[in-house]
Amino acid sequence: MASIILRILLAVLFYLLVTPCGMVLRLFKIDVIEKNCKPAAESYWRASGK
Amino acid sequence: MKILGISAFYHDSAAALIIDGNIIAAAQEERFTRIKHDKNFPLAAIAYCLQAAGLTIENIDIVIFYELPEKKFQRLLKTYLSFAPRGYTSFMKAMPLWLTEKLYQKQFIVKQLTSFGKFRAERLQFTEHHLSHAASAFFPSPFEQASILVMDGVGEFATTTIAEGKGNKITLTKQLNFPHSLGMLYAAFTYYLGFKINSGEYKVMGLAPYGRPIYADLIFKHLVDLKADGSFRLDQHYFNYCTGLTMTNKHFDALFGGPPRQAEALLTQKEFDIAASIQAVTEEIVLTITRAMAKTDNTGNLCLAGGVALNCVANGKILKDGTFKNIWIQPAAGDAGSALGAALVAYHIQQQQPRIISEQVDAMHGSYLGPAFSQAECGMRLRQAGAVFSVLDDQALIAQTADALATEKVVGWFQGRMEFGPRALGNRSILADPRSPEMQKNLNLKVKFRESFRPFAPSILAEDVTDWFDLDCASPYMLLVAPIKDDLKIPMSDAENALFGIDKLNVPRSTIPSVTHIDYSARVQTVHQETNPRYHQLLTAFKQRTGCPILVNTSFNVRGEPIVHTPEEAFICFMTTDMDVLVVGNCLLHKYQQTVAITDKPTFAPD
Repeated sequence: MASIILRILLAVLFYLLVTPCGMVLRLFKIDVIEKNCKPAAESYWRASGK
Repeated sequence: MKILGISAFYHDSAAALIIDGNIIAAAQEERFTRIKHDKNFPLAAIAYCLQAAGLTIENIDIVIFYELPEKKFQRLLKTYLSFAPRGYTSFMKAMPLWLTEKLYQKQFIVKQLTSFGKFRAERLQFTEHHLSHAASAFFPSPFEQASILVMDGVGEFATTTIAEGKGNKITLTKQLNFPHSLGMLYAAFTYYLGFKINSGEYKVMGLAPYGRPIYADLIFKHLVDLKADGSFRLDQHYFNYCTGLTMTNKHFDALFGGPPRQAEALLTQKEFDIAASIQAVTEEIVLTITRAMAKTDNTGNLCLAGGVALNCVANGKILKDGTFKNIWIQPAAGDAGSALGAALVAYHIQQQQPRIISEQVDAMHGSYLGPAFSQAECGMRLRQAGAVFSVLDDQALIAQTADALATEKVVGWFQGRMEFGPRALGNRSILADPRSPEMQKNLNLKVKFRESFRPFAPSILAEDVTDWFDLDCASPYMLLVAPIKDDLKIPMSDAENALFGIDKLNVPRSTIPSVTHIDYSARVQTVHQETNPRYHQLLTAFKQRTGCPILVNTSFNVRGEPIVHTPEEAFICFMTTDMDVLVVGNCLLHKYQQTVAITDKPTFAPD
């Protein structure tokens, strides 16, 4: 039972929170995990410890 | 100060114990539980480490876990955020596990440790995944200063990290983050070629020489954006590992003209060519990184760890490239080794204890860090298993074993402490004569029960390595591939060259054909008097009889089985394969003298 409730909550969380938030971020071109390739960039290295 | 390092929950769980900076014991959980790449909390490995030092958990000052679970969770959430609405299935699979278990890893670990005795939670520390790897690569190395390169699948965020090591300090300088990962890229191709990820990578590397790298340009054009400084990103359009339950997707299939190969399906030239291509791409990425690193390096020394550092072909290329004078690779370069790395982080970095550089080859004690069995124990255990054997003194034992090897007998060789890391280095090994042209096929099919294309590695007396291979440094952990000397090569005729794929294998291409891969290379292990005197003696005795200071060395197991840990496991493996002779400590067994029948033959999941 508990696991069914958890699954429903997770599905709601995914579609009503994660998905819209992700879409808004994409709308503003915010790449949270630096996912996209940038052919014009010179380097992809990032400083450690941040 | 007594420190226990632990790695767990992903693959290859392990534990390592250091006392005042000295590496005392280390082992992978799989060897005890007999589950290959066991990822469960390493209770048995911890029990072994404690027992090896005669300690209880109360005596341990610090226990340290190799990565930061919360940070890993953050990465997961960010990834879902970045891909949603894609990723629902993966989200629903991963989240319940995180919310009910993985986020409470600290409590879980404390509870597990309490099963050994009284353990206070404040003695449990955590450190970063790539810092653990970097520490395992640098602190045991023979270098006062070095550049460090860590490459693997992923830890928390980092997939590729460049660091500098000096004395007892490590400074992480720059990194690439998930999902851009050389480990993931190689794993994606491993998956596409029909092998299991996290273990089938060796097979891809072994297949590569049978093919031509005709897809390398395609990979660079579509999948990998490599910059001149070695940094890169992977075009996620072709991959599925961020959000799905597979590694690659339909766009990837379209690019390579078909779906992934089914496991165990026939291997064709296409698979060989793809393997050759991803290997070539890997080498180019790694070399671009190390060349860029060399520009700012003033030490001449390079330390490697992380799963990609197990790609011994790429390692050989770095060495040959000459941008770094010396290279040292952590033998347990995968996640098992980060248990040791984490312990070293606690000692040198967190506790700021000085580092004493070993006067031996390095501080790993040859990686012989696992359990050993006394002669009395070996004899007793073998007797109980029903074995028929004679007990010989050292001299007779070495002589008779060398005689057997020189007459092309396949010998199981079980001695001293078990190796830490994926390779058998002459203590849990199956040995054979490398001069025999039939040996590779026989060993693969009749002893190891695995695919006939898989190459075998040579062990060679460290003193003789330059006479046989183009290698002028130590390679004690079988992590460097080097070409065979030109004068030992047998050139192939045009007809032989035209042979297809695996048929090429049957043409001997050197005077030591069973360890010569089809590109005239070999994955060399140099055997040193200081770290393994007994194996060194055996090689010396074999050389006296044959003029050849080399033996075929393959791990003591069958396909899918973890390397044997106990004399009984060695005996069962011996009895259920075509091995001729077994040597356990000073006990010598001939197959034809055995009287017991092994009825309950163990079975192992396919690798």
